[in-house]
Amino acid sequence: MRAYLEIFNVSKSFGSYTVLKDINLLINKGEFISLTGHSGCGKSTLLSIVAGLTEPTTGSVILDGKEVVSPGPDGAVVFQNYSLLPWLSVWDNVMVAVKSVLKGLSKKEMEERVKHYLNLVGVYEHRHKKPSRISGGMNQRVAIARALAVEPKVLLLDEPVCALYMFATLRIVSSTISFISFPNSMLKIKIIKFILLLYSSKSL
Amino acid sequence: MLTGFFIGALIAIPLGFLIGMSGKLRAMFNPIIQILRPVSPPAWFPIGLAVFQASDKAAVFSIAITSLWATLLNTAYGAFSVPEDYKNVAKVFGFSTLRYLRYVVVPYTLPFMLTGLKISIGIAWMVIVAAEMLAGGTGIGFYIWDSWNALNLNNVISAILLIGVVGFILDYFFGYLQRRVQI
Repeated sequence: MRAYLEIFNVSKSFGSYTVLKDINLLINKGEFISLTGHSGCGKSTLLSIVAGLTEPTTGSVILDGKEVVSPGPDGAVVFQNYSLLPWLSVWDNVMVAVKSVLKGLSKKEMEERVKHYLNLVGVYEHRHKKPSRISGGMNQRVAIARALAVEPKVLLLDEPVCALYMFATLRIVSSTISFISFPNSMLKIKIIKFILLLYSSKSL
Repeated sequence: MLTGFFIGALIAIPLGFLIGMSGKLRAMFNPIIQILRPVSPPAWFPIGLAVFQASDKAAVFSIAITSLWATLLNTAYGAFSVPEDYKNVAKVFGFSTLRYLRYVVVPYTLPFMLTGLKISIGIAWMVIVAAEMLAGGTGIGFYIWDSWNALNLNNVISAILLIGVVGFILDYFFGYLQRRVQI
């Protein structure tokens, strides 16, 4: 049986500087993978390749049988710096992603969905505020809600704990994982550092 | 005056977005912009007269063409400098071009655009006086020239003060808009 997410011989060089060399990784549905390493070792680069934002120099990434060639909602990313749109409220930040990705839903279903995920990460009461009016940790939680709300095939979290205190992180991760088959393997690769949280949208 | 300013803005804003977002257009338009931008307002007046055959339309034309550069360049700069992070958000969540413009490029560029408009309205207000002096017949520019011909310096100085105050109010209004959209 094929793995859900397959990373084959992925290398990435910027000029003569090689960041990633021959990365091979097979990840099954429902697995929770955490990759760590010293800073500057290519963690965000690999994540961005899996997300389709960066093209690998060699090799390929296959998600659910399809090669990842361009970014899309299948690989939802929670960026290191949250990347919420500062001119939109918390609610609108999630809503605009839902509207863009899940076009088939009715307005009411979309609202239900946004509400559900904002509640899940515990920022629903701040939904009318702009990202600049809430804390960094809350920004990150909104970014997580936005990523979860579009039913991605794989959820990519780039340093998701840096702004959250550990307790809140565990609460979020465990509440996300309650829809997800629980992590059954933890991988550590010496040269890469990021957490790659993988789950199947079907189990939602 | 406002007609000229609005025509200028209507050309400058969309063109600014296009130039800011496309490298090719930027390379194409940049030399043209750099050459036409420093041209003094009255120099355009004869061209306006030749094209429109009417002095009031020529005045509007001069105002439009001299006031549009600041808006154009600022809008283009704003659209050009949309941070990679926001572009990635649009890519990851599969924003359509329209959604990308509406939720990313336009809101990000808005403060830059208003800075441009603020400079443009100031320029338009300065050009109007020069243009009216050339066009004759109406307006505060004509009034100053007319008063000078009548050797009425009191009126000239009152008109200068009035121009200054109106300019200040216009500037303040755009400054206010600018502060409103500041994130």
